[in-house]
Amino acid sequence: MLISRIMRTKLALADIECNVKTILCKLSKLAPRQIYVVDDNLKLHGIITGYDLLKVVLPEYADSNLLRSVVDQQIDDFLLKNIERVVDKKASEFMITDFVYLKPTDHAMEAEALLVEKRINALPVLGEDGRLLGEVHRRDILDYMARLVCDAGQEEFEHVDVKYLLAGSILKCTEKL
Amino acid sequence: MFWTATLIFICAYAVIISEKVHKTKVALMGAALVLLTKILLQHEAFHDIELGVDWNVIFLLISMMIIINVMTKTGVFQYVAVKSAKIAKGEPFKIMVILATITALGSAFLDNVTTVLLLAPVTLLIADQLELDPVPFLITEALASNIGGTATLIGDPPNIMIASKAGLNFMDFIEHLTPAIVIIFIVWMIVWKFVFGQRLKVSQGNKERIMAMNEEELIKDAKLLKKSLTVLTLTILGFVLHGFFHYEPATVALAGASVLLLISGEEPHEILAEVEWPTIFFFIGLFIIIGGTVKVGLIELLSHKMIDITHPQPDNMFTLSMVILWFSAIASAIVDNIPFVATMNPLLIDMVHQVYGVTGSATLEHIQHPAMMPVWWALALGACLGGNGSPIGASANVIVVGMSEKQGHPITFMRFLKYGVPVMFLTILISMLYVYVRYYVLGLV
Repeated sequence: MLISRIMRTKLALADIECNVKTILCKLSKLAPRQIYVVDDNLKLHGIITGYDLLKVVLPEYADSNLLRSVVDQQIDDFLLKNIERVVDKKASEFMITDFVYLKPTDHAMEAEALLVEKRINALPVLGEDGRLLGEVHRRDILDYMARLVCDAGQEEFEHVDVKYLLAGSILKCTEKL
Repeated sequence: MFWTATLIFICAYAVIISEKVHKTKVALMGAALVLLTKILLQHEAFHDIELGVDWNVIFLLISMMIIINVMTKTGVFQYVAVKSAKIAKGEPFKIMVILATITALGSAFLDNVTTVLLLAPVTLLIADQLELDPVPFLITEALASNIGGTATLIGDPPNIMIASKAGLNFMDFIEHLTPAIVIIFIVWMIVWKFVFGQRLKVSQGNKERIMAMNEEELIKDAKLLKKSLTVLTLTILGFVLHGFFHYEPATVALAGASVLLLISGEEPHEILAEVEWPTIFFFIGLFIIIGGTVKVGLIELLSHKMIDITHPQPDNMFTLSMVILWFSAIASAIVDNIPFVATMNPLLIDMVHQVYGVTGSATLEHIQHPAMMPVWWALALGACLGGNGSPIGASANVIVVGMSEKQGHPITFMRFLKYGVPVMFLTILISMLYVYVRYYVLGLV
């Protein structure tokens, strides 16, 4: 299967002048896999993931252990202070510029291998001129793999609300559907 | 051979100072050239006590790094720092003094860089909570780590090297350097009170933030903390007694490190991977390069020059000790104090040969001659305290400058000098008075 046939084309975009606040709000509102920083010609300059935003807001010195010393009542105040510290940072200052990408003519297993090798969630798909054409998420590859192997009966899978889950009521994978 | 060894020595030091290539690469390349050109034979480089690698220094460093690596995992430093800030009731200057004291004490028994690496993040958090510029706190910690590290045999690599070469034990350092450092630290803090006492003001609300912090949460592994504190205490006790039982310091440290590795339950490959191998190999490379210069007579030549300038007498080396103190301090502010001391050690040993007319290997009787002892202490004081003279004078300074910059508070070269140079001159001046009064007026050798 060619990448051009499984890629998504509805993406979240930003330009290099966008600041942390705009990107944070966009990420929260649109819930994209990642935000693509492009110019007017859709040429891709960088990528921003949720992880990059978390990292830019977290003070460089802080680790999970050290932050335990800040009590709950003060943590919102502390977090807000740290957001304010970086709120005007431009996308160009924290976007990833050293990214890997796919071409529309690559096939699904190349994408799978790249996602595994680089331990990332999604890959941009670029044309010859570096123009952004789409995105392939690992979910897309998994869906494609599932379509190849899953039976129609398994469409009965559903989410379980753990709040109401009773002991012993979990369906075992060995039981027949 | 003479010129080849001299060329390797000069080129290696020039590239190390330029910082264009990592110092470990340079030292190892230099060592390889010394061996390839047969200035030193491999047997001499690895097994000769006078010319080769000083394994006492190497194993002492590795063992202490292992102990520190295990201790780092307990969170004890962060705990102590937050607890101290609360004891100071959020008063910034009091916090600064307590953090400087903890850093100095930590650096006296552990590695300076590790102490600063562990304390700087919590210092940044405290400064954040107080809404204060963290730079004065961070620079104070770097300076305190260099001062504190001077106090003991294991506090700073130059002391480890001097102890090994001059056959000095842990208690010699406690007896001769610790009093000097206690005086220096107290005077420095009094001066700091005038500099920062009035400048550091915070609101009551910010102080309350500090008081609300929960330090108990910072201890990651209480069991491991108990084990590592027990082993560290026993190791320090071992250092105190090593002269009495005739063990080398490295034997004591290796015993401590191996016991801690055994009882900690930590994976050895993880703990060993965190040993600063680049530093260890830097030492190994340097020892071989210096060994080459000793063998070909370069060090002997330099020692003749030093004798011509300072005219040391078998029973009085006052001028030499003063020259060594100031020269070491200024040199260590500019270049790494490790290669400096690595060069000065054999040079002083050669001077012992010449002043006391020793042929063959110098014995402890000559190396530790009462007239010679102030010179060793002057070298230790100068080389360790000189590190405060510039942002590149000591590894702890480099770490602090880097961390502060990442946090959005860049410390310019000039800003560091503004704090570091006066402290360096103050501490060396006090050291000078200490050496003069103690050894040349009171005669307490």
